[in-house]
Amino acid sequence: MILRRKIFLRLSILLLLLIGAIVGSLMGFVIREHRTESKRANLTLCSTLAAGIERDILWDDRVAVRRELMREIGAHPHFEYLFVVCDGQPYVSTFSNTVPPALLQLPKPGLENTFVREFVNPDGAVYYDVQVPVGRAGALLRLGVKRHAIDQQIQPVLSMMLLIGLLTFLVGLFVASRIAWRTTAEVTLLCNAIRSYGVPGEAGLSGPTVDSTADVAELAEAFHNLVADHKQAEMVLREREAALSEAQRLAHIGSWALDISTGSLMWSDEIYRIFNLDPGSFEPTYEFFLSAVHPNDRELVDAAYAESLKNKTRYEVVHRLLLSDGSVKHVREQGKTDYNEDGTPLKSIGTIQDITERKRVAEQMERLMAAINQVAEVVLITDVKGAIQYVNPAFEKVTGYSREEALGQNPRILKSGEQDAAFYKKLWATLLRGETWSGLFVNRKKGGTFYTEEAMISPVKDADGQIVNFVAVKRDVTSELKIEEQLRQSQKMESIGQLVGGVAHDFNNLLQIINGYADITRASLEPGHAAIASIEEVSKAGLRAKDLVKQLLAFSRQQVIDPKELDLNKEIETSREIFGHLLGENIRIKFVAGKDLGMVFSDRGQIHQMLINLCVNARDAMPGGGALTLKTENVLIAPEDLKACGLTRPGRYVLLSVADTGCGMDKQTCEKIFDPFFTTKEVGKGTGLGLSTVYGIVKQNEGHIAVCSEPGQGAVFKIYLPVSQPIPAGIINSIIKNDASAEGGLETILVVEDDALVLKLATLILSGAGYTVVTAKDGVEAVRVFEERADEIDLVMMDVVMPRMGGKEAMGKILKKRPALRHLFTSGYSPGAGHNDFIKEKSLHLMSKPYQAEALLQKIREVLDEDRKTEA
Amino acid sequence: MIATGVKRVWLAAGLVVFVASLLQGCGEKRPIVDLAREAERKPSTPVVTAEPNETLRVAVGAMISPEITREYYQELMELVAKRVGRRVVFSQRRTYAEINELVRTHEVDLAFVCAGPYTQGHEAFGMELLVVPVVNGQKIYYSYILAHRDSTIQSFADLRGKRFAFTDPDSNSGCLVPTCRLALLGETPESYFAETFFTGSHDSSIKAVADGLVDAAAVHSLIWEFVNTVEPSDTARTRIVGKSSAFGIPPVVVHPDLDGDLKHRLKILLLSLHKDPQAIPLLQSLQIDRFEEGEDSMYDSVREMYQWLNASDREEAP
Repeated sequence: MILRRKIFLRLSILLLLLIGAIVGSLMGFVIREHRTESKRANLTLCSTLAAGIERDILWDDRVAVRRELMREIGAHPHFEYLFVVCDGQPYVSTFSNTVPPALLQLPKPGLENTFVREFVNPDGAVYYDVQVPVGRAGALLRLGVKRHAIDQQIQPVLSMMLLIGLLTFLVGLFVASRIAWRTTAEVTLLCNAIRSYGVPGEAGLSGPTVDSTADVAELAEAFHNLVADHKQAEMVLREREAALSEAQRLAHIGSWALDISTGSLMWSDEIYRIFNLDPGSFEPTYEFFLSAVHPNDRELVDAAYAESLKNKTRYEVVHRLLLSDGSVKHVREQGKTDYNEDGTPLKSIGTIQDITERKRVAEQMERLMAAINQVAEVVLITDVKGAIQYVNPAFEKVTGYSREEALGQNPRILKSGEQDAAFYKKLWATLLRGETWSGLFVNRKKGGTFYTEEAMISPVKDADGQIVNFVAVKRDVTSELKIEEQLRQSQKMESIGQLVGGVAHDFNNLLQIINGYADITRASLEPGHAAIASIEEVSKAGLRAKDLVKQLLAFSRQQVIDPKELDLNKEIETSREIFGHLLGENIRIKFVAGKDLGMVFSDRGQIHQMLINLCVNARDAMPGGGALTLKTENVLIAPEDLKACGLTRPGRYVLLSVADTGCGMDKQTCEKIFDPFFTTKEVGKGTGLGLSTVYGIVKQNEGHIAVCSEPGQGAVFKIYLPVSQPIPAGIINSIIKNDASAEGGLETILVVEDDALVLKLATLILSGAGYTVVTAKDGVEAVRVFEERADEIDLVMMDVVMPRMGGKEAMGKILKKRPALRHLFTSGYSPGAGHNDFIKEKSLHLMSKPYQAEALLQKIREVLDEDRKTEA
Repeated sequence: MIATGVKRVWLAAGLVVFVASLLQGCGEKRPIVDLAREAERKPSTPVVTAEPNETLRVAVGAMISPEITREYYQELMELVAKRVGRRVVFSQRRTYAEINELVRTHEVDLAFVCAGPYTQGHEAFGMELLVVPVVNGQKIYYSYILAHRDSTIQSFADLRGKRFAFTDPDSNSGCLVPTCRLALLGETPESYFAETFFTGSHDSSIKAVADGLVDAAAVHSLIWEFVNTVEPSDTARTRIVGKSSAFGIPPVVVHPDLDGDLKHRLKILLLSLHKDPQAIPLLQSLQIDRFEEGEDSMYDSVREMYQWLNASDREEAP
């Protein structure tokens, strides 16, 4: 029986310790007392001996003294040595040789000459050194005694004490065994009685029969009752455990308990399920639990538990589990620890809840909310009464109302009054039918600004189909509408331009023929011929038609231009006189010239035409006189200003403002002011092309024009023109050649032109000026002709737009053969991004059609003489 | 687990108590002495040996017990040595003869000897009388015959068959005088006394009578007076039953060959010692008034007694 053995063992140990301590203490006491007594006895012996040898010393009878000392040594076997010291020197000793010096040098313990001191021999033996003075002889007697020898004297006593201790211990052992037997006898009886119970779980316990003292029988009876109660309680407990397990399964919460002293961990079935394990399949441990925690969360979980132990607090931590099948679960873990009185942790208990599903839903919600918060569209949710319950950040940005200001309000805070009651009635009718309404609102921001938004409003229904909320998704489309309007305007102008451009091109070729042949005919007639007057009228009408076409081309931005670096201030100053004539005396001109104004790269003719058209427009707006102010200045357009300025490229611009004090315009007029043929003048008073031409010129120069005006308040036109890049070399050459006088030559010129009449006219002009002319009808023919007569040809004049092979390609092939060949292009128009853009880019020579004979000859000479001029 | 730990603690504590009780007192720090290691061999330097030029070697005859002699003479002799610029080396010997031998062999410079030994030394090697002490104004002494105060002995005649104590065989008062007296009677100590002893000194003889160890003893009169002063309990238990005629007081002697200058300085010093304030109390404790010049003739009576005794010994010899 374990208890009996334990009692016996503990009593035995206790007895051993007790007897050991007592015997040890007694032995120690006896030894100490014996040693003290021995010292005292040795002192006495020594004193007696000293008295005995005093006279011999006084008589200096060393033999007698030595004899006495030797006799004493012989009489006392435990004496190790005896010697006498006189005046610090050994006088007589029992040592076979001399007295060891260290003995003489032993420190004196006090002032007295009588004492016992101890020293130790290198062999470990302890000695008592007794010293007494020898009467009046002025000498000292020293006696040495080995302590072991003293201890030996009481060896029998010590042995007896040990024997008594041993016997006592043996008796104690016997008593201990009896006590153990007696103490456990009753318990053994009771145990036997308890063993007489049936197999656990069997119904109907039979009480034990205990043939013993009344106490034990009573105890057995009580135990019987206790077992019965325990069985009952166990049954109830099992039921509750089953209920708890079911509850845990439903709630996905498992419970655990960790015995800190043993390290054993208990899991409820639900925790096994959470960990995808078979309940009872193995013994869980804290280490296993930690290994199942997601590696990234392991430190967090361990730290949370350690922290709770340190601070003696509860802990709660949400973390992930990485299960053996690779799946990840989210759990919420809570726990607390019980401690004993001195603060040692005993047991930790807690729960683990599987919150994977909840977490997934929460994350979806978070994503949804993040999406709603981040979208550009306004999201607004109201209850059925229209009170705002939710607005997203886009709402705040668009309307200017903060979320706090909006919540609880009715969306009518945005009402602008632009929609009538019928509009809202229809809207509500749609919504209350449970349908989605979509359409445009004009609403008012917090600051009062109106804005247009495209809205889609839907009712939100609950499970019973009852409308519980309305949700509106809206988008501010104000800018889009504006851009759409601008696009529409642009497209309209573009269409008109293309129409006008197409007609004007063909019309130009006709005019070239009419005017050309009129000139030839007039030249061939004798002076005073009757037909001269008629032909001159034809020429005049032709020239007017040419101007008209030029304006149309300017509007359609298809006018052939010759752009140069221009100082706008200079151009205005140059034209000021003309403006005076145009405006008349009633209108004052004021010019505010910008300082260090940037250069613009434009066609001088176009700029002059633009200025004149603007002046004419102002004059017509001020029939009763007034003032016209022209102002130039440098402006820098930042990217963020582009939209406001209507420009597409940021950078440096020259701003020309033309302000009049005329009648002004309403909004509708302002919107159509640049439309071609739109005029506010009487029929026949204007072409309706003046401001359209200005618009076209500005656009062709990659600028922008805007007008600000109100009726009666005059008007201000603002024209932005880009400041030019550094001047290309070709442009400089062309400027120099402008001064060259028109003259003919003897060189050979290849003229390439698909229009037979124009080709014929050019041949006439050039051959008339002395040149040898070779012709070709298109690019293919031109390349072939050049190959045949390459050595003869000094210059190639080629139309840009031709069938089969265009001027650009043909000229490329020819130049490949002779890169240094002089050449120029002719063109009746430049259709947008095509055809003659390369001429402008490469600063090539261009002759615009229709051309005057003199202008052509001047240009030809300029190209032929290019190198000579450069060298000069 | 905790319970197991507690048990171990109890067990360990018990063992600690047990061992501690056994080892109690073992932790004292003791010096180490190697008893097997001897000192370097040096010539033995007896206590009486000193450098001759630096020491004044003085011997005192065993008139009184050596303990008392040392007690009373040591300090006075230290002073004397100091006055002559030397360190004293004080010697005693068991017998008068040994003192005489020390003087003869120059082992001492100055000696206090009894009257008998003086005459012998003078005769043997010319022992020279330096000065003599004056005690109670006199330069003489007697031999007293002592008996226990309570004994029935009234005179020397009552001593027959008694136990008798002599001091030293060479002592005048302690041996020669009573022996001579017996010789006059035709007796020897062995024939006259039941038992005889040599005590070695006069105070020992006084003590032997006082303690009843012997029935009677012959002692130096000045010693008896001295003991009567310093140890009256002893003399009080004795009674003087006989007194000899006067003899010259025991002198202070030197070897005749002692350095003359030292001899002279010692003599001058001793003669004026009673004027030295430091010496006065020391002289008083020895009951010496002063030192004076002495005459060798002062000891003629002793010398005669010796001669007579020796002569009678020769006559008796076979």
